Amino acid sequence: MNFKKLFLITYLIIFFPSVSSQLRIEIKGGVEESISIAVVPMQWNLEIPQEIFIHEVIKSDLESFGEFNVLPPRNMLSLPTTKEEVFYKDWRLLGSDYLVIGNIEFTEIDQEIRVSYTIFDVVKERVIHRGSVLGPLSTLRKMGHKISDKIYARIQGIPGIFSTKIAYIDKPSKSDPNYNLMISDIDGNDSLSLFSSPQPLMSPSWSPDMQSISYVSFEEGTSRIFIQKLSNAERRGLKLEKGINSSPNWAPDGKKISAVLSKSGNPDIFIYDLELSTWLQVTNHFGIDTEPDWSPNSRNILFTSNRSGSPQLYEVNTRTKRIKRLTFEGTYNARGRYLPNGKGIIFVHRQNGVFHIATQNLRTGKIRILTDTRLDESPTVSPNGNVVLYATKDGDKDILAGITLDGKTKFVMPSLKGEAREPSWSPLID
Amino acid sequence: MIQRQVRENWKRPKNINQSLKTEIQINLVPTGEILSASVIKSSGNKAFDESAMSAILKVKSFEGLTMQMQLFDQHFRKFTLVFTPE
Repeated sequence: MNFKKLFLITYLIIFFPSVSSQLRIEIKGGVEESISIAVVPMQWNLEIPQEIFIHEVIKSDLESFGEFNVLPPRNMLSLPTTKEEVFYKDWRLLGSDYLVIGNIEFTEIDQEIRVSYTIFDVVKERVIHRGSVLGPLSTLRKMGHKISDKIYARIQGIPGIFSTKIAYIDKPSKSDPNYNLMISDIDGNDSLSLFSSPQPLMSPSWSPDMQSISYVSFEEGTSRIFIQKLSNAERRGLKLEKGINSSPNWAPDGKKISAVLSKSGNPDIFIYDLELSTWLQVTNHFGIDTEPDWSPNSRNILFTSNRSGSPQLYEVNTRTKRIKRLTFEGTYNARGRYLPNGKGIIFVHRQNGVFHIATQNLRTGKIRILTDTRLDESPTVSPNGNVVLYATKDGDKDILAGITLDGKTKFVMPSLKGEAREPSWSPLID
Repeated sequence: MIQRQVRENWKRPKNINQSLKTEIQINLVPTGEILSASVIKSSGNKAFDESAMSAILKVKSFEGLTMQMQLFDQHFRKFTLVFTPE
């Protein structure tokens, strides 16, 4: 240490003894910009023609909610497929913050492929993630969603939702006189009918392990709750009670289902124990209690009740049965769902005679209206808490639309056939 | 001035929790060049922390930092940047 430095340190110690007096500069805002990312067409090492291009699947995933801006290949200066071929300077020039490259090859197993990919941070000039996904050739799209999830998680810091599914009810139409319980990817692709009936189907709800769906069916002439396994379509009806059996909603532990029964004379919230096949009454009021939803920590159930005269949202503690009113603004607040962090709820809120999707912070009680369309209903939140999907109208047609929780990006769920209602977002798996 | 240069280079992720806060300690030399930067208080969201860090890396060197040596030593040799979305 030279004398000058020693002097400086002494000087600092004498005159500026307190570290807490260190200058703090606040940087607020910044540019909330879409993150620019380049996804290079992956090297196709299979001796068969390519039908699905994985970089296109990833591009469409990442651009779904406006968070990413994906550079099209025609604007790229090179198409690297290995780390050695990456020149950071080129990608910086193109304004890309991140870069993804990869290749696709067969494994030793018949028809199984491996997609290996690398994510680069262009600004820091380093690899931030290297990974591979395996699967049958026929599931290339699904493998693309998995890579999108990894990219999203690595860059946004929260889980990606591109591998999750949406369950919904498809109403009868000219081409199909039946109600269909459908599941599809969140972009509307790979849709599949799980159950079909000429009588109404309602209220799909996912099991937390994503293996089963519960729903209401009128196939027996009266409403009854069924659960159905996705793997083998095995169905089981819950114990049927007199009157209404509706609005099933799976508990986070997977062992119970909350629902609405009217066997006590009017609709109340009940809990069904899937092991014992018994119903337990949770609320008991002469008003209508309906549309239950479990809190993420399992302690409470959110529900709609008209006990105060108009539909409002309440929370009941499943152990103590104590009830707390949550919404006070306006004369219609219904169909509530907890946000995955448990700190807020989303619901249908009526303002000036128009139904909107709104969110409320449970600590401050502050309401924020998210949508500006007219007949919005049945909101469901993505399992990472970032996006709300809801049913709405496009003219006479029932469609599903979505909005990010920050209210900034709206979208209509594309390529859905038929008329979709009552969307339910699956949990996150792996 | 420092604020402006960092803010202009700060591209933060969209659609994130608005209450995040990252504190980064900066070591400068009198020419304005950034010697080192390190996260001293993470927001808990890695992406948010990294976006703040990237902003500093993009700045590389602060322009227009002309001041007396004593003032520089007092305040700018080592200081903290606090990043918040709102």
